[in-house]
Formats: sequence, structure tokens, C-alpha cells
Amino acid sequence: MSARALELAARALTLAGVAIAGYLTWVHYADLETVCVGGGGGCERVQTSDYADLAGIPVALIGLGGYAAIGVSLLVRDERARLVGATLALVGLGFSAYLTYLELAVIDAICQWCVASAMTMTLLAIVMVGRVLRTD
Amino acid sequence: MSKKERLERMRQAREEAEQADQAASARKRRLQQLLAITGFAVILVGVLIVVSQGGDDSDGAEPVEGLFEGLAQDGASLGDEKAPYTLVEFADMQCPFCADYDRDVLPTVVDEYVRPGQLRLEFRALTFIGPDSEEAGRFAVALGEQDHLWEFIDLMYRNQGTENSGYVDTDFLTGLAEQIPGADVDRALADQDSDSVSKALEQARNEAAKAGISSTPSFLIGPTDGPLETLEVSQLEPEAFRQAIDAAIG
Repeated sequence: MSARALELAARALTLAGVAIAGYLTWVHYADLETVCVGGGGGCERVQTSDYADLAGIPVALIGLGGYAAIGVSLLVRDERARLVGATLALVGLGFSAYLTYLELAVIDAICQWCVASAMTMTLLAIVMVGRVLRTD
Repeated sequence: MSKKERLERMRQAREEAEQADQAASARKRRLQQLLAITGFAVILVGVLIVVSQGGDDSDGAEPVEGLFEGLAQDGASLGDEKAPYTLVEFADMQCPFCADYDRDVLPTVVDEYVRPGQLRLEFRALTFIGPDSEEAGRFAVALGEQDHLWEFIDLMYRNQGTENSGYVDTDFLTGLAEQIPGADVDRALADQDSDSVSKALEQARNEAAKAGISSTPSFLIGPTDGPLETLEVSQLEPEAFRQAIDAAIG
């Protein structure tokens, strides 16, 4: 994959992540029900569970902050910014994996938005690591 | 091959070797960087997980001290029987969201509506999750016959285990009930299989079915001894309940 393609993929995935996390943050603060395709109430269960907050901060807002920070790192063109961006994406990947485990094993409900975010973060981590490893 | 050509070839070979060295060194450096940031990310995720779990203090926690102190209990009801409005809670004691309500919202409802005498609470034990729900529900209703249902369900939620793992056994129930001052544990154990307990659980199921309740926790609210309607709340948070209750009781 060329450097240009990696940049474009990183930007597109970051925008998708901001959109997903932004929606979940908006729903949280506007006190609205999450639109869950196919119903089932999984999103509502996850969003109102013990694990929807981290030290009082909604997980959706933390995710939004993470995607935004990755977005900022993409705007800076130096090696340090690439490393910071990749670190953020790897942290996001690890925490997304933990949240997905919680959904499956503890909360016993799946939120489609959270799954979408986890998949976006996984792809983003691959792309961001790819940017670090490129030697040209 | 002239001497000049030999020198030129040697120079090219040296430059190519230098470039290869530089590329190898750059690859090595990037791999080291990747390892470093991966290690850092793993540590950071570990910290996030610890912080996340630190907020969940439901397991083994003590009951909210004084939450029900001074409030009248009569069977499944809590609060002044002459309160103008009644809030009926339908819950399965294995349901984690019911535990969230108990921990996050119930103290607000008790302090702001039950203590001032505006609201009376009624508990309906549903047992659809499985056998452990049935055990817990039976024991709760049996303790309700001693007017200790509310302390028990609070303890039950705070010690909630893995769904249907068989954790709700006699030892578990006895251990919880022994923490309730004035509760007769032996009597509750004897009463949990009684006809009156079975009837109360069946009545709760029927009431839930009649109200179209399919998930827990669910709530009905209305004038005491009058028609009840569904309490619509979007989130298990105190403010959401304040708004919904205020709207329902005017």
C-alpha cells in the first residue's frame, strides 16, 4: 500500500470514528435512545451499563477524544506525530477489544455502534502502524 | 577493465552497501519504535481497564447504610401506605440493570420521594432469567412476609454473581439474610417454598404480562390504589427518573 493510500485510509477511518463516537456522545448528553438497527435494546443496555463511564467520563466521549487526537496527529507531517498517532490507535484498539469482551461476557448485550467503532479502530491501528513501518 | 572503471565500480558497490546498511538500520529503528509504542499502549490500556473496573464496586459491597432506615415496610411495599402515589418496580434479581437501578437511582427515589411521603414503592419479583432468579425471588418474598424484602433485594444486587451459575444457594441466601437486623433466616428458608410465596410470584408474573412488561427493570406509576401507567425513562440515571416521576405525579 502506497504512502498516499495509507494517508487517505487513515483520514477516512478517523472521520468514520469521529462520526460514530460523536453520535454516541450526542445521544448520551441529549438523553436520547440509541438507534439500534434490528432493535433488541442491546445499545441501550450497553450505554446504560456500569462500563459506559470511565471515572465519570462517558466512554463515547473518550472515544471521540481519541479519534480527534488521531486526526490531529494526521495533520502534522513528522515522524513523532506518526508515532503518537499509532500509539493512540493501538491504545484505542486494546481498549476496544476490552469493551467488546465486556459486551460479550459481562454485559451480555451487543451495541452495533460499539462494534462499528471497534472495527474502525482495528483498521485504523493497522493503517497507523503501517505508516510507522513504511521506509520510503 | 581500466583502472578508472574498477575504481568507479568499487565506489558504486560501497555506496550500495552504505544504502543497504542505512535501510536496514532504518527498518530496525522503526521496529524498535513500534515495539516501544506497542508496549506503551499495552500499559496504557491496562491502566484504563483498572480504572474502569475500579468504578464497579458492586461486588461484595455493603448495603447503603441507612437507605431504608425509618421507612415503613409492609410485604413488598416501602414507605408510607398513605403516600398519594405508588411506583411499582418489576425486576429480576439476576438482571444487572436492575442492580444498576438499585445502586444508582433508588437512593435518590427514596430520599426525594419516599421519605417526604410523596411516593410508596412496591417490588414485583420476576424470575425469567433462570433458576437463580427463582431462588432469589422466593427468598425475597419470604423475607417480605417479615417486612425485610427491601434490605434483602439491596443486598442481593450488591452481591450479584454470574447469571444462572447456581450461586444463589442456601448458604448464599443465608449469608445475605444474616446481615439484615431482625430477619428470621430459618423462617425465611422454611417459607420460601410456601404457597403464599408461589402465589406472590405468580401474581407478579401476571401483573407484568398484563402491563406488557418484557424487560427489567420496568416501572408502573400512578395514584395509590388507582390506575397505573408505564413510567417511561430513557436512562437508569437519577435525573431521568426525577423528570419522569415529576411528570407522572404532577
